[in-house]
Amino acid sequence: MYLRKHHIFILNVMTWLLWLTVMFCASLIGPGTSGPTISWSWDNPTIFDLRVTRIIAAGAVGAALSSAGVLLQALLRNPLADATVLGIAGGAAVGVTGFTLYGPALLSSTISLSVFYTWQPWGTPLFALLGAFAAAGAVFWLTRQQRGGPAMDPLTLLLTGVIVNACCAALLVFMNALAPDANKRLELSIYMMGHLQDGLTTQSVLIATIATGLVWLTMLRFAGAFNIATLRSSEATTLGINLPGIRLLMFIGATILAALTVPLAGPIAFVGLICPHLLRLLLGSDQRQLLLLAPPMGGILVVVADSFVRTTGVWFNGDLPVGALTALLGGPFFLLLLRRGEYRHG
Amino acid sequence: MADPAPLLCARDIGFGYDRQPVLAGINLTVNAGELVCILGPNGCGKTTLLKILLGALQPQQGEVMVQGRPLTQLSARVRGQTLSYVPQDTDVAFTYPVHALVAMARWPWRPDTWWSDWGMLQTQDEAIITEALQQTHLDTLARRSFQTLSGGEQQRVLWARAVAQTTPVMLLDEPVSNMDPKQQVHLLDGLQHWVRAGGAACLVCHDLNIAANWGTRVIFMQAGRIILDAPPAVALCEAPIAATYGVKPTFSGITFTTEES
Repeated sequence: MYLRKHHIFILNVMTWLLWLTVMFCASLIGPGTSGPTISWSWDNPTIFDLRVTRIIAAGAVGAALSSAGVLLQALLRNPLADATVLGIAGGAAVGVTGFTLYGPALLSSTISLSVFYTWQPWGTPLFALLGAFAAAGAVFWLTRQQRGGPAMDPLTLLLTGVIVNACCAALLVFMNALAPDANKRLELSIYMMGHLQDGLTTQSVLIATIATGLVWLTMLRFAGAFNIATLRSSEATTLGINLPGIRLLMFIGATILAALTVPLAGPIAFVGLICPHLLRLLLGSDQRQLLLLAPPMGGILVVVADSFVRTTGVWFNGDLPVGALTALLGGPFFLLLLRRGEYRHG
Repeated sequence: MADPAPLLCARDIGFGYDRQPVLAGINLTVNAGELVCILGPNGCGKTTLLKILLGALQPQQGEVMVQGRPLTQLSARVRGQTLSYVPQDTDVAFTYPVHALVAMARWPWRPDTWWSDWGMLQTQDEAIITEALQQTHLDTLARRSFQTLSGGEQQRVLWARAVAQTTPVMLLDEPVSNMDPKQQVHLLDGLQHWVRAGGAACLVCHDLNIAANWGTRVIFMQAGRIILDAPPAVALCEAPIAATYGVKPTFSGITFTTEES
C-alpha cells in the first residue's frame, strides 16, 4: 500500500492534531473513588500542574522512543532493533540510578545537598546520556570488524546488545541493594517495566521535551539520506552519501532520544519496537515519512496508556507501570499484525 | 592541450583481508567508450577489485583516480555523480517500491541548499527516472515492492538505478546472472549503447560469450593479478582461456542477435 502525496499530508496533519487532542482530553480525566472520572481541575492549580507535567512527560517519552526506534531499525537494517536491544536503555538506567542513589553521598563532601538538588534536573539527563553512550559504545566496540568478518554484523550486534543490556539490568539490582540511603531505593519490579516517575518537576520535563524536539528536528533535516543508508554499504557508497557520517549521526541521535526518556520513565521497552512497525504498515518504508509521524504515534500510545494507569489506581492497589500496559496490549496486537501475510516486517 | 585524463585509472593496487593478499600490482585504465570485461576463476579478486574501484574498500597500496583526481578526495556528492554501481543482487531491509529505489539515483544530483537533503525530486529528475524505467521495461512494475520481484527483475531495477544516476563511469558485478537470454541481450545492448555515447564501464562476469559479443577489452585475472589485458579477438582464444581457467574451450560459434523476435 503506497499513499499519494496529499494523502500523506492529510494523514500527518490529522495524526499531529489527534495527538494534541488526546493530550488535552487526558488533562480532563482524573482518578476518582471508583475509577477514572472527568474532573475539571483548573480550580486546583497544584493538581493541574502535576497532571499537565505528567501528560507532557508521557508525550515526550512516547515521541522520543518511537523516533529512536525508527532510527535504530534503519541504522541496523533490522526490524528487531530498539533502545533496549542495543543496551542504550539499560546503560541510561544505570547512569540515572547511580547519580540519584550515590550522587548525594559521594558529593556531600564537596558541595552542599541544596546545590545538588538545584542541579539535579540537569545532572540526571546528563548521566543518562553518559550511561547510554557508554553501554552503546561498548556494544559497537565489541561488534567492530574482526578478522576480515563483516563490519557491524547485525546478528552479532543484536546478540551483544542484548547481553550488555542484561548486564546493565543486573548492575542496577546490585547498585540498588547497596544504596547508602535505604529510603531512596527503587521498586525495581516497577522501575524496570517503565513507569512515569513520581515527583517529576516541570523543569526536568521541559529540559527533556525541548532536547527531544531539537534532536528530532536535526534528524529530520538529514532524513532523506537515511533511506540510502538502509541499503548495502557498497551501494550506498556510490549514491552520494557520506555513509560512516550518516550512520554515526543516526546512532548519536537515537541514543540521545532514547536516553532522555529514562530519567522521566525508566527503561520502557516495546514502544520503540512497535511504533516503527505500525508506521510502516500505514506509510511504507520511506524513512522521512516514518520520522515525521513517529512522535505523534509514540506520543498517543504512551499518553493513552499512562492516562489509564494514572486514573485507575483504585483498581490495582496503586499505579500500574505504564510499560506493563503497553506490552500487554501491544504484544498480542503486534503478533496479529505478523500473522497477516501482506506485512513483511520491514 | 594534453590528452584528457582517463575516466578511471587504478595504479598499482594492492589489497588483502587480514594479511592474506587478495590483489597485488593491479594497473588498469578505462577510457570513455570502453566496455572492459573482467574475467577470471572464482576467488581471483574480481569483486574485490570492483569494490576498490567504487570506493567501498580502501586499497592498502596504490590509488584509484577518477577523471584525474584521487577517488578518496572526492566528496560523497561528486563520487555519486561520477560512479554508479550495479551489484549482482541486493538485500533491501525494508519494502521499498521499485520507483523509490530508482529515485535514490538522483540523490547525488540534488540541489545544494540547506533543505535539499530532504530529497525532494526535481522535475528533470522525474523525467530521468521515468525514462530509465521505460528503457528497462519496468514502468509497469514501478509501484511493486522490490522484494516481490523475481531475481531477474530485481537485477533490472539495479540496472535502472545506475542508468538514472547518469554518471560517466559504471561498474557492474555480474549484472545479468539471473536474467533470461532476452533480458540479458537487452541489458547488454543498452550498456553498449551507453558506452558508445561516451561512458566507461567495467563489467565483472563469468560468461565468455558476453565478453566476446559486447566487450571492447578483456581482462583476465588470476590469483589477484591481471595476467592479460587485450581486445576480445586476442584474449578469447584457446591458449589464454586455458591458462586462466585450466579448461579447454570449444568454440561453437553461437552468438546472440540483437533483434528481438
